[in-house]
Amino acid sequence: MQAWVVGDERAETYLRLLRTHDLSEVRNPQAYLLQVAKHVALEWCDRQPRSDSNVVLDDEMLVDGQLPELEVDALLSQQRLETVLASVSPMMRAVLLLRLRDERSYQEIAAELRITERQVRRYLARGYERLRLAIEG
Amino acid sequence: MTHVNEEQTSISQQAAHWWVVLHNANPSASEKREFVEWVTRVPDCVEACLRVALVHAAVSRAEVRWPATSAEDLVRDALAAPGDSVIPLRPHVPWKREDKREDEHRRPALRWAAALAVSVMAAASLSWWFMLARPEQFQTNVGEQHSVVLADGSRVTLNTASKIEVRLRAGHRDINLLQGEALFEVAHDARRPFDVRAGNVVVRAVGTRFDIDRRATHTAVTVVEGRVAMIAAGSRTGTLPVLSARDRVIVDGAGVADLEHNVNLAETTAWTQHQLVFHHRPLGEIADEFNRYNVGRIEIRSPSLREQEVTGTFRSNDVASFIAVLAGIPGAHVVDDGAGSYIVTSDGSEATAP
Repeated sequence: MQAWVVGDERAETYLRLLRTHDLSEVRNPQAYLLQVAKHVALEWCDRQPRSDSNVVLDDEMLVDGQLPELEVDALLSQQRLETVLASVSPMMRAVLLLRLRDERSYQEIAAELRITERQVRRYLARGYERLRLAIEG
Repeated sequence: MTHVNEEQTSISQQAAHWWVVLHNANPSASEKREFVEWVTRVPDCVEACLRVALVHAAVSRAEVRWPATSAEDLVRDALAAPGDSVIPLRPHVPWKREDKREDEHRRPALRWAAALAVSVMAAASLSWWFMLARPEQFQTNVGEQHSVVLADGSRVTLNTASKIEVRLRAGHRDINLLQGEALFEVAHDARRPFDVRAGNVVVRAVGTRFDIDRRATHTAVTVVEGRVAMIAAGSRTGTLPVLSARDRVIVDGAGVADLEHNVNLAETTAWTQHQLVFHHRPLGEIADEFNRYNVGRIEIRSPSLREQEVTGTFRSNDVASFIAVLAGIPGAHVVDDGAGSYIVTSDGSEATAP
């Protein structure tokens, strides 16, 4: 489902990042990276021969994470999300749900679970990794 | 040492770490700097970031059905779970070195072994350093061409009177084109960017084929296959382009770049077949090209002749055919000095044969 970014586009995105002189001056470098990748993806879609049955991607669709591929995979990723949440430790499940479902800050989560913010970040990073492995199947 | 550690932590784990760090309320300036340094290291980092973003997008959809367990129950279960809150946190993030030092204190028995290993590695890396500090050089004389296959599998073909310096490092491949022209066929290695510097121009490739022609007044970069990024050029160029196949950038001494599309690649790489291909080029320029490849000089003294355009293909060492063309032009006179050099004049031209 990631075909739109992980082929040649990643090299293109990378090359474009390189020519941004002061990337670290960008307020949010990660958001900037995604922006660049999005442009690459859009241009890439433009280059594909179009037919009426093709879905044409526009900016809004990508911003909302409503990629057609994601729609198709929604059911599958729902199942996989449930599998991951059922298989992780209670601590990681709490961190993941408090963050992704309840949108709590790291600080709040740390206080609730009596761990440090750094530990919250580690649980979350590992949680993302688990989710990625599950969702990418 | 840091490098070894970084390889142990996969790029995707690092990407997840950065995602989490930068989605904090207020990432610090140094965190942003470190992220940029990390993400621009190799394309794999970009890919890993995009994958995390997709995971985030997948679980942020409105339709996602989360378990209904209340926050209070989640917290209670987490706190009740035995031992889970004290999961040993192995050094997950490579740039936090204090973790490693703690380990050493905890296990003094390992210290000697560690010290020995460190000194062995230091000695090894020192000799590496000396090896790397002395770059390999390759060069050709006038009229010569030479291909070298570098240790990474890339091939560099040097044109006449050219010289390069090669430094292959663990995370980088650095080439300096000191003079002349070279065709680079870069072995794909996303983890080791291939940078070529030519005076005021630096281009970066991942796996591609491109030609750099460094002249006294300008440097031309032509992409034959794939893409390269210009990552540095003189001061006055604004945004630096990403070049695709059949693109050419000519950067002059002041750093002003000029971009051309749909370049004729056969002409650009003809030199590797020892050919000079000209399409409506002035005779003066063609004579200069022959002079690059041959010790004998062709000097066209008549300005009008120098500007006259011709189309043709020559072997680069076949001066005689070009001289025959010149001699066939009505009004042109060719004087052979007997040592391989020629002076060309025309009727009414200001110069006379010596």
